[in-house]
Amino acid sequence: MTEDKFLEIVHEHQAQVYQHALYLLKNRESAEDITQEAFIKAWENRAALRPETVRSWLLKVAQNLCFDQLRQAKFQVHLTKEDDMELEMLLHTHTTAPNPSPDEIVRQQELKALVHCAIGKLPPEMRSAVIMRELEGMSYKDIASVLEQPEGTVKSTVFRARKKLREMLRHYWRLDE
Amino acid sequence: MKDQFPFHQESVCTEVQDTLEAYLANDLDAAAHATTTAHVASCPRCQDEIRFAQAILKALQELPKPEPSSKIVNAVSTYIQTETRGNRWQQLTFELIDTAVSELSEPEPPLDSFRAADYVRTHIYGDTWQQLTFQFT
Repeated sequence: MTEDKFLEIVHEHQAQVYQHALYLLKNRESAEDITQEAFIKAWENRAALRPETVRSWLLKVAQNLCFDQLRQAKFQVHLTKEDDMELEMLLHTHTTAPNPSPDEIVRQQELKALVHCAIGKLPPEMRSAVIMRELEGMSYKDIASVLEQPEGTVKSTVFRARKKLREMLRHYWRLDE
Repeated sequence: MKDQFPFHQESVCTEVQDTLEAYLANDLDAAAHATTTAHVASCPRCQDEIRFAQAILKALQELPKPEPSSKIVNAVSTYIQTETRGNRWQQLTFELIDTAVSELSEPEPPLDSFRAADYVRTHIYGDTWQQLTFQFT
């Protein structure tokens, strides 16, 4: 594989690998380091890479690196001030409901912010599965190849993650009652 | 609110709410799906729970997707260039060593002193030896 061809792969997949690492580690700098390391490993293994599996391969490597970091350093989940500001800005620019009422908008934004925080409290494996499925829109088959688990197990993990989020945020939802 | 729900109703609600995500993804078997649909149709609490589950799903799908900085592409590109350049130097070094070794190793030096002198004259001093010999004869 030529250098140019490989850099095309980097451009195509870096955002997803980075976002995956960022949602797992909740730290921009670490997420960038992990993404960089995943691509360097990919370059070193370029002879074995196949276009149809390169995304799964990269996500698997990035995820293992994230899990190592979470395990070894007992990584503290935190947001830097910079990440906080960026998140705040993004949360306020991502409302897609057609003609929502002002109350509705506020409520959606609040829920999004709460879901974002609650995701950080899910166990890493569960977090990884729900991010790949709901945020990144991956198929259960692709997620199964990243997690090296049967599709049925992945589906059940995603459902359990969403149910857990529901349990964590129920108090907020019931506030209006 | 709890008083409005008799015990058996509560247990059905719990069961339905335990499998809501699978229900919304049409992943329940036909019988369980039909039971859930029938229950939800008459249960305001489970209807609300479905709205809540859908809102969470929507929030998940609309979470921010921050873009990485250019640092990643730059770092990977630099790594590749350094590695490629390193490999070229390594290859050149190996080629030079190969050439040197092959030049040193052939032909095999002779064993007796007369032929050894001849070997040195031919292979090491070459023309210089011839010039020296010429001057002294």
